[in-house]
Amino acid sequence: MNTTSLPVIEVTGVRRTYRGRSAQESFEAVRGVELEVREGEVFALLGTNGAGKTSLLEILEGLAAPSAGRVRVLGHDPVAERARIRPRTGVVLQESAFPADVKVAEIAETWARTLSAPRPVVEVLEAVGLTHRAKVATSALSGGERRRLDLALAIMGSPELLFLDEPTTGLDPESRRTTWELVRGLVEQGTTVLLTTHYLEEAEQLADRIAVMHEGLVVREGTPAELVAGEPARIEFTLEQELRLPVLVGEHSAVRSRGIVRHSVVTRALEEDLRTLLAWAAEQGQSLGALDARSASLEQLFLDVARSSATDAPSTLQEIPA
Amino acid sequence: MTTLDLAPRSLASSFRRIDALAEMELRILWRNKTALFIAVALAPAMVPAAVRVFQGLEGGALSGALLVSLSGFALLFSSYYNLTTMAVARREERMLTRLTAGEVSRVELLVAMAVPHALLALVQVILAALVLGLTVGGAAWSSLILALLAFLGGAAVCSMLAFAVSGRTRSVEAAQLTTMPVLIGASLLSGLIVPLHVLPEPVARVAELTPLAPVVDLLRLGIAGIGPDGSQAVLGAATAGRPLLVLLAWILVGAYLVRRSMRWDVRR
Repeated sequence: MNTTSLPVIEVTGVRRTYRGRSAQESFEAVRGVELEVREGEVFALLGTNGAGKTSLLEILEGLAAPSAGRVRVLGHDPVAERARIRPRTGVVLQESAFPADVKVAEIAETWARTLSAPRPVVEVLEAVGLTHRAKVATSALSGGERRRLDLALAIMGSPELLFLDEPTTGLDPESRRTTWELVRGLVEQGTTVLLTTHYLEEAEQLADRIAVMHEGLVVREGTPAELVAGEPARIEFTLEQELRLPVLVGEHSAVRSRGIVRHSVVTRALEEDLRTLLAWAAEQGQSLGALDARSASLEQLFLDVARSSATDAPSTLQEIPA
Repeated sequence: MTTLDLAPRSLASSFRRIDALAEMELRILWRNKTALFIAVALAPAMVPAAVRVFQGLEGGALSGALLVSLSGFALLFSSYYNLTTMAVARREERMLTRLTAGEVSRVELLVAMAVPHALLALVQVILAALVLGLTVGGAAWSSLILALLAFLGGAAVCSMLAFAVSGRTRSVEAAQLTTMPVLIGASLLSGLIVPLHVLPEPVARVAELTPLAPVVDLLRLGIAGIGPDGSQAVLGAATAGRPLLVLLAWILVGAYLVRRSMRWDVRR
């Protein structure tokens, strides 16, 4: 990705507080986020449910104003200058329906008439594979088809920037792949995409850069490779008796249960430690049971972040190296 | 950036968006048999409730009174009750959120939702005026412009109350309850069912200030040529001034209530 390209989204110190009746009931869903999304990239906000992804996304979409901080989308304030931004963006909301008594083509044609430069309806329905469903009432669509209709409306104005809030949640694997292909096609044509997801595979498949959100903060950010590079690898195995292991680079721990000993090594020198272990096992005539050696994965990072749950202690989260 | 060259929203593009959305809303209304029944059947069915207003009237005078009644009930059931329900439905399916995330402005969206209901009410009244004119007798029509102004003002007030109430209504089913206070209050205290001049003085003073009262006063003046006291009236500042001011005040209050209470997205 071209790192010199223009920032399409700039977010500085953004907070979002939901006001309750009292100070105790108030809830800060976004607690000081800094982000930059560059032209032409796919940027994924990854996080567990309740991490603040949608709350942040609504601010970027201009559907809500931040409680504090500064947001620029395509160089403009998404709330105050919405009229300048909207013709250039497309939005797929997280969960949404359509008026039950309206047909697919009718919704699409109505939507097209609200746009300043719509693509032909026929072409867009074709792109999302809904041509054969054009005359069907939206209430008769399957979940995946509804999601595709949503996507059709979002891309109808040929947006430069596309917001996708959990675009494949609830979709079967095949629909998910179709959606990914569609997004890749748009990116090839130069569309910048900001998506939220809690599917690691989706972030890995699509995103050029990922920001991991947790409890209202971006706790890690980078390319998938960069994110994983900072994480240690793991080696796990069992032994049937208590033995002293050779000296390893990584950190070793062992748990005894039901007569076997489970060993776990967290290491930044996977190959070296694995070689030492295997040589040692051969020399001792030991078998390493259920041997599992894994490079760091996004999944591991994600689980570590989710586990680092420390409610109302943002300082501990900020200490995690970005 | 290139957007700086973009002209601000033109009136023509605004009209195009409103037209598109109003057409869809009208289509939805047409296919929703319950809403259609409420709009087309309930308003005429309520007219006999105003029997006290019609006592001793015949010919053109009766026609005029019937048309005023029908206008009031049609506005309440279409522009208020049905519109509240539709606004809640559009919000709950997140169509409002989706649209406001697009190029449509909030004001355009409100106008587009309100217009089909007001139009349906107006068509009913026009048809009734034609039928009554041919059968019972033509109304006085002392000022068609005032009658039209009153109808449009009434539609605006009812629509704004509908949007405000929709914001306090969690589901389409709940709208049956939340719409009741305005529906009952406005029809009882507007002069639609009981003429205000027969009410005790203090009650009548308060009733004059309810949202539909100035609409009914002005409609009666414009369609039947009858003043607030029930007698023949000359059109002028003395007869039309006060209700026009009250109507204008309600339009401003309505706009404030919409700003304060309208909700564009589901509660989460």
